[in-house]
Amino acid sequence: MYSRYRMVNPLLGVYYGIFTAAFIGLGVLLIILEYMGRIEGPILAALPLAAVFLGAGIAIASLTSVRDEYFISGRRVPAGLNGLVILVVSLGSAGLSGFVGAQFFWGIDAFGLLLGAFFGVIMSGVLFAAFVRKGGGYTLSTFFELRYQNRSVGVIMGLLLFLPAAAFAIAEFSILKTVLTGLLGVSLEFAVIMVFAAVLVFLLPGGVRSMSWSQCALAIVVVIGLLVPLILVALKYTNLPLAQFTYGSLIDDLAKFETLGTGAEPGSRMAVSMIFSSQPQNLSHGFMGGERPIDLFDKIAMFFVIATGVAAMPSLVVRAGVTSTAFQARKSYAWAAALIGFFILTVPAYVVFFRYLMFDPQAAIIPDALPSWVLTLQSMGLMAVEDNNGDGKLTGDELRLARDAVFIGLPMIAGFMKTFQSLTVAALLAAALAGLMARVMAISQYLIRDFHFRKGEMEADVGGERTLLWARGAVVLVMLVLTGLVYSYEFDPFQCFMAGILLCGLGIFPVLLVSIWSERMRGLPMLFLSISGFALAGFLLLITSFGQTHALLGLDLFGAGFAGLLVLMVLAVGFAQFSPKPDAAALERLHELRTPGGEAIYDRHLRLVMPRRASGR
Amino acid sequence: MDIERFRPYWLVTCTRATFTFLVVVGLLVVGLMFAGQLDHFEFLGFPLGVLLLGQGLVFLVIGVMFWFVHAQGQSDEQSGANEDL
Repeated sequence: MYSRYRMVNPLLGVYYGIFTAAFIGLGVLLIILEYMGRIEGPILAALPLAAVFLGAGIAIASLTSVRDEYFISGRRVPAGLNGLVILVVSLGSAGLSGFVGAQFFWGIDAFGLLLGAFFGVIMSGVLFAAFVRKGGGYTLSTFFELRYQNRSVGVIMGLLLFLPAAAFAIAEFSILKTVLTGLLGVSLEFAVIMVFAAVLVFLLPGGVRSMSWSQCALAIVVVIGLLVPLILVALKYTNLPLAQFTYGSLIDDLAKFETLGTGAEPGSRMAVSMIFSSQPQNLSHGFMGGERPIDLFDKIAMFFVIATGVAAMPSLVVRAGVTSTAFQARKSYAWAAALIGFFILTVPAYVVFFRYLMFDPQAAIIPDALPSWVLTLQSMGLMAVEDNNGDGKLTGDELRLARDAVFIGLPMIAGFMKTFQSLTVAALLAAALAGLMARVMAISQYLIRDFHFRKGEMEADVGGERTLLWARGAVVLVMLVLTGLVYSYEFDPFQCFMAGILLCGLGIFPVLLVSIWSERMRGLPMLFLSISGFALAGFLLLITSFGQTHALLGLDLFGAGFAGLLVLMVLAVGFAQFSPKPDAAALERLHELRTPGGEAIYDRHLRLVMPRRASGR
Repeated sequence: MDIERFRPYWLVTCTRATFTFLVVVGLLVVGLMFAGQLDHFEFLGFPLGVLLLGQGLVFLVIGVMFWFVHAQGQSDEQSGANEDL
C-alpha cells in the first residue's frame, strides 16, 4: 500500500559509525597480521571483499516491499548522506580514476576537468534539485512527462536517457572487470559473474532504498581509501598528515626532478587524447611551469562540457527525489559540492606526491629486481618500464604509466604494506559498484515505467506487488545484458564515462534547463532539441574519436562539445522565447512545479487519482 | 500558492539562482583564465595560482552554495512555499 513517509532514522549516524569502525578495525587487524607475517596471499582482496560484504549486509537489511521505499527510498535520506551518494554517483570509479590520471598527465591544466565536475554539482543543486524533487517522478523521463503532460514525451525521453546510463554503467563495470581480473587474479568468467551477483544482492532486496544506504557505506570506503595512503605519504615526506595543505612545499623540488622532453604542443591532438588512452604513456609535461599541454580554450571548453554533463546526469538529478524536503534536496547538493571540493583539494596532492615518488632518486627501482607491484601493473598493461639512460635505475619518465594506474598506484610506489594497497583497491571497487548500481537502477526503471507498463498502469497497481516484481525482473535483465556486453568486449572506462558526460551535457542539460526555467517551452520542440543534442553528441564522439582534433572542425572533443553546447543553448532559448504562451491550466501546473514545498506532484497523483481509478470510482 | 504570492516569490528565486550561477561561474572561469599568471608569487608554500584554483576558490564557492541553500530556504518559508505536509 501507499505509505506516508517515515521520519529520518535518528540512528543512521550510529549505524555508519559502526560500519566505519568495523572497516577500519579490519584494516588495523590486517596490518598487524601482515606485519607479523601471518598472512600473505589474499591481503589485496581482503578489504575490497570486506567493503562488499558489509555493504551487502546493509542492502539486505533494507529489504522492502513498499513501492515508494523501493523507488525513492521513502524520501527520507538525510542531506549529508545523500551528498555522499551524489559524490560517488557523479564521479564513479571511471571519473575518480580518470580525473586523477588526467591531473597526472596534464598537471595543473586538469583543474578544468575537476572544477567542471564541481560546478556541475552546484548547477544541479541551484537550477534543478528542488523542482525535480517537487515533480517527484522516479526517473527523469517521468519528470518530463509530468512537465509536459504527455506520455509520449516521457517514453521518448526514457529511450534517450537509456544511452548515457548505459555508457556510465559499462564504464563502471569495465573498471570492476579490470580490478577483479588484473589485481585480484580472478578469471574473467568468475569476475563478471561476481559483479552480476553482487549487483543483484545490492539491488533486489530494496531497490533504491538498499542502493542508497549501501552507497553511503561504499562512499565512506572511497573517502577512507583515498585519504589514508595520502596521509601516510604526507607524513613520510612533510611530517604533517594534512597532504592537501602541505604538498605545495614539494612543488619546487618536483620541478627540479622533472627533466622531461619538450612534450606536445598546447591543445594538440596528443595532449588531449592522452587521457582517453588506457595504455602506458610517457609523461610529457611537468606538473606546472614550462610549456603547458592544454590551451586556455580547451580548459574553458572542458570546464563547461564536464559541468553540464554532470549537472544533467540523470542518476544524479533524481537523487533530489529521495530527500524529505526541497531544503534538504538543495542541501544535499551543497554537501556533495563540499565533498567534491575536498576531492579537488586531494587530487593535486595525490598526484604531486605520486610524481615526487616517481622522480625521487632515492626511490628508484632496480630493473633486475622489479618489485611485485610493478610486475602486477605490467601484467595488467597499466605500466611499462625501460632503463633509457642505462644507469641501472628506473626513475622518472623511465616509468611509463597508464591513466588508471595512478589512483591505485600511490601506496604501491610508496612501498606501503599490502593492506594499504588493498584499501585503495577497495576504494576503486566501492566507487565502481556504487556507480554501476545507480545506472542499473535507472535503466531498469526506464524499462518498466516507460516501456513495459502502459499509461497509468504502473500507478494503478495500488499494492505495488506487480510493479515491484517487474522492477526486480528488469534489474536482472539489465545486468544480464551488461554482463554479456562487458564479458564479450573491451571498453575503455574513461571513454565511456566521457561519452555519457557529453550525451548528458548536449542531450539533457539544455532541455532540462528550459523545461524548468521557461514558461513557454513545449513538448515537441523540447524533444526535437533533446534528440538533436544526443545526435550531435554521438556525431562529435565519432568524428573526434575521443580527443583527436578533427581536420575540418579544427576542434577536439571538448572544443567541439562546447561549440555544440552553445548552439543548443541558443536554440533552446530561441524555442522557449518564441513559442506561444501556454494556456492557464499549463501555467498553473508549471507554477505548482516551481513551488518547491509540499507533497511531490507524482505522489499526490498516486495518493488521490490512481486508487480511485483502480477501484473503478 | 496563489498567483499573487507566486510572482514575487518566483522573481526572488530567479534573481537569487541567476546571481549564484553568475558568481560561481565567474569565479571559476576567471580563476581558470588567470591563475597561471599568479604562479610567480608564493603564499603558504604554494604557487598562488595553484592555491587559488585548488583551494581558495573551492572554499569560496562552497560558501556561496551553502549561502544559497539557506537564503532560498528562508525565502521559501517567508513566501509560504516551504513544506506544508
